[in-house]
Amino acid sequence: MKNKFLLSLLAGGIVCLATSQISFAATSATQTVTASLDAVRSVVGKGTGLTSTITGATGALTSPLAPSFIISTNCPDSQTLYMTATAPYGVGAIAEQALRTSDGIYIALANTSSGKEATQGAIQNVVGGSPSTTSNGNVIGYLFTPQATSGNLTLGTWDSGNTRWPYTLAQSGDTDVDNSISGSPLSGTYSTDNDECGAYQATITLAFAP
Amino acid sequence: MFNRIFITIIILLVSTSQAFAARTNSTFLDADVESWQSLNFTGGTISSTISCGTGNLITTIRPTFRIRSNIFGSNVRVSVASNTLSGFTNAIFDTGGGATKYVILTNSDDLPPLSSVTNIKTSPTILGNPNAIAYEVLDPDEQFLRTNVTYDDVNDYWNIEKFFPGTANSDLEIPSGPALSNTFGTNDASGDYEATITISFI
Repeated sequence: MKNKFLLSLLAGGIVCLATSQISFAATSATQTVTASLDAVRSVVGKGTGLTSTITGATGALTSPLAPSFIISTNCPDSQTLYMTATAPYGVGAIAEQALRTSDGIYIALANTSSGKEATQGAIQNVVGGSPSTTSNGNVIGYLFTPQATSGNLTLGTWDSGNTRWPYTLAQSGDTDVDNSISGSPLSGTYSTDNDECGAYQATITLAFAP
Repeated sequence: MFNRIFITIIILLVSTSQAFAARTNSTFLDADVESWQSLNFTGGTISSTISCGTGNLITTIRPTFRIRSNIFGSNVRVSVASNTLSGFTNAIFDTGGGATKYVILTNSDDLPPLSSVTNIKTSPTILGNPNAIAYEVLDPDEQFLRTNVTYDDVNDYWNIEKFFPGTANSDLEIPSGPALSNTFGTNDASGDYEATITISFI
């Protein structure tokens, strides 16, 4: 009886060993590795076409300015960007909204040369209402042509409350945003009596919505 | 007299052995251990992040695996595949002669066309491989006097020969660092970039 018990125990052990070998005898295995990539969003100024000359007699730009950008993103989903423009005034070059949209799109360039800085009121006179040369010394308005809707880049309507243009971008990769400032001055914004010689500037900003 | 004693002893001996034979027994068990082999991934690092600014792999990916067998001369193939719109495709390639190997990770959230993988393997151009990024990958670890690793640069996979019965450990390392030039760009959509490693006996 004892021998039969021992024999059964031994036989059972062998069966257990045999089955356990089969259970973990995997002959192949797979493993997936993952690297997560977050969204890329950047806007870079092209850096060309940023200087020109103003004709003293007429106030016209001798060559267009081209404040343009490249948007880069890896996100094909719809994203919003805003374009704004400011002109500096006073000694500390404080920024004032510089786009006029009531009768076309114009941008105010303000004199930044020492001792000839524009005033906030002069910029506001060009941007709003009816400009008069006696009220906007050292500020000149020019036609501003923002990048129009193109492909998956859509120019929205002017947001007067926030003084900005919305763009909607719905593609990944690099997208050009080419703006231009050109031509003769906006009527009532240039005069040799009030606009002194110097460097007239404005700053255009394009940024992803936060 | 002597014969009687001798016969009595013989009878006693026989009867005694018969008595023992009734209480004990001898059985020979012949259990043949069959050859067996086992493969399994044992952990390591299987996830990382990609810098959205540079495309650099921020931390090293290093899945580990174990080969077990009770025979001499086990051979294991290590291959890697990435998913595309046309299905899985071999994700390993080398720059010639097996010198430097690269693995192509593809976006599992926004699968690339097969041409993205092909573009990287041939001559990568920044616009030609959206949603696929390549990184250098090292040969699987070799254990001194236990395993030998070779690379098949025609079919682009590794073979690991394990010399002896027992256990051998290895891994496949994708070191942190820059993406292969012209394989990362803003046309690589955000998401999880993946590759699947398969180890199998051959």
